[in-house]
Amino acid sequence: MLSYIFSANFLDALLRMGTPLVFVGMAAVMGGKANILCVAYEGMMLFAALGGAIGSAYTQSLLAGAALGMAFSMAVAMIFAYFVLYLDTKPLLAGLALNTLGTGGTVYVVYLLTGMKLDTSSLPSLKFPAVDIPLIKDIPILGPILSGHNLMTYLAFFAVALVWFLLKKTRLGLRIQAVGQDAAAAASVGINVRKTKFIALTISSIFAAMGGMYMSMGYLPYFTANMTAGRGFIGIAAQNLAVGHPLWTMFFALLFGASMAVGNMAQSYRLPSQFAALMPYLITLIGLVIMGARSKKQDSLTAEAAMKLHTPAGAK
Amino acid sequence: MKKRSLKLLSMTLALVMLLGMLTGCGGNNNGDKDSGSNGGNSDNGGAAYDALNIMFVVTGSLGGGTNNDDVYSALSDYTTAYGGNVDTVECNMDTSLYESSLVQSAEMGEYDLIVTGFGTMVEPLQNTAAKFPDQKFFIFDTAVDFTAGDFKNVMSVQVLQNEGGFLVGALAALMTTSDAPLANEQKTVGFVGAIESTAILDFLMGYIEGVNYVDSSIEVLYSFVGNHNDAPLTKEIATTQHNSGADVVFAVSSSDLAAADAALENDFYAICVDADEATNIAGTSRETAEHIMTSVVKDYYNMVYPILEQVGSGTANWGTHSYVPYADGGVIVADNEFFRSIVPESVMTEYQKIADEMAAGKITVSTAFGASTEEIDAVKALAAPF
Repeated sequence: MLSYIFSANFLDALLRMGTPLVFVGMAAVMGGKANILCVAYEGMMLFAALGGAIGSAYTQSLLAGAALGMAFSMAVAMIFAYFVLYLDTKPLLAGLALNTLGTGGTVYVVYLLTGMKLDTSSLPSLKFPAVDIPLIKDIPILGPILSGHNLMTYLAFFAVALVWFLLKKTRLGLRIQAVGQDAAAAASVGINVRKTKFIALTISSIFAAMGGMYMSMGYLPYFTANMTAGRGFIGIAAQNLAVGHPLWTMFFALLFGASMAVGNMAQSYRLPSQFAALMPYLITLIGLVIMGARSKKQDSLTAEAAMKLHTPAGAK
Repeated sequence: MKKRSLKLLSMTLALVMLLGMLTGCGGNNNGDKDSGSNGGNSDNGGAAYDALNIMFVVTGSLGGGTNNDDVYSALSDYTTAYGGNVDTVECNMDTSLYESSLVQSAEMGEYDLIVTGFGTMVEPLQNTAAKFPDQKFFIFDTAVDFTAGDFKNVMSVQVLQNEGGFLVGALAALMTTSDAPLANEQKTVGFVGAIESTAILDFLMGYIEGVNYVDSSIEVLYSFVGNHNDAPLTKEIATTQHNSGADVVFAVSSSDLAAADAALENDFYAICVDADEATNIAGTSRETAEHIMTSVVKDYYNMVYPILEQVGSGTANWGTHSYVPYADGGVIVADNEFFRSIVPESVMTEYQKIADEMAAGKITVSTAFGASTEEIDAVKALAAPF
């Protein structure tokens, strides 16, 4: 078991399982920073996975497929934004409704196009290629670890850097955070709250689309009904555990990927399958407890500091 | 107030109808749909067959090329040949609709036979059958517990899928010890199941016993995905098993093609289930088909059609459960060009011997149906080399 964890096979598995989670984690970070309770990532991923598969199948162009996937995901985000930002629908309801639409709607489209309700394996859709990095791939040990992964896996890490940069270094990022922390205060200094939230949602839908398209154009070469199987929610869990920090979100997303990989392996050692399926959720619970304890400690420290500040010296 | 609630009701109804349209379900009258050419299946030896008005309560949906479609074509072939009509209700795997759909169909009172299938339907069916003793029910691919009540109006039928599992288990064992191009040194084979349901455990038990029948020093790795739709995870688990030494992986799941995709990427052999997947996928991806050694196909048509004939001719044994064994074609190990090109000559000869013994009824295989957890665990324990 331990020898497996230190093998290149494990790292490969971890990255394969972790890639969509990192993407959707980044989507959740963007949504979270703008203080939008969006749970529609599952729906966005599913529509993107479908759009990518059929787009690339009918145009035979990877780029056109990717564009259609993103367009599908953005359309879901637009509907969500319209309901939540303009009609003041409860975001949780809108999100859940769109997820349901994602499961049913994608199957409907698949049925229209192929006459099957299970998958699009009868369509000749394209796949994102694996990337061999020249020079690096020839370095012993390090080469196979760094090189040869799917293009989307590299883009996932790029997405993390991008989100970090966007939030920390750009005016738009700061505005999104300002709107998220206190919409009224942001509005009072002339930030268009609705527009900013809309932009944040659009960006997050692009990341969700990437995660979805990795499923149908990287992991598997076709779309299958409900193939995201709750990954959108695991991405939200990662973002929550990391309190919205992009790097920590990536860490937790990869941890979930690792737990899936370990769970798969552990089954071969006769660990009950139910336990393997439970792993990501167990980690979420443990993580929440740790984070909860930490923030409680921080709260009490802040409270103590505040007490000190307000208590006159020598008044003990 | 009254007006408002009426409006609410009509809106709800409209919504339900819209959803029904979207998912293509809801009491479709498919009776006039043209039927396959399998009608000649009946040997009409002078027996007169009655026209049957049939209601088919589908757990999932029709039109996916799944088992339910095979059942549907058996039903429509019968009614085309001897008269009658087939109506369908699709539940789209929504278990909350199962019992209500059965009850509604029974309440209509215009059906000679209500047909449904699979293990998840057993309980709803038993409840409904008890309430409507004059309505005839037939459930396929699972067993009704006839000791639990007086079900004189019910019949259930099953194929012996464990025999199919046994045969591909033997085939996998022969392959992993052979010099086939993708066979490795390790004496290990794999099994990926969707969920630990009785039907899938039945496959697993047959598979393990089939492997041991050939060589008990072969290890069987078995894992479960936890659901039918997580195709990526199915692929991942198949890959993990290959990395642990398995050169043949048997995938029993709706996402079995994902395991075939893993086989294509990592160069090993996959065995699929439910349909002749290699032939199906050959048009889009021949490379994938070339990694699918065979598929275990339960012949739903031949499971259902003979029962219809019994019902139609009045010779049905109501209140009983029956099996269709491998010998009678209930379960088939797909024999296609890929099977013939992948399996080496020597393996084929050995395999054929075992298949002949099975067809002659000389081999008994353990079953998960009616077995206790201990009995199932005892067979699982045989997965390790001994």
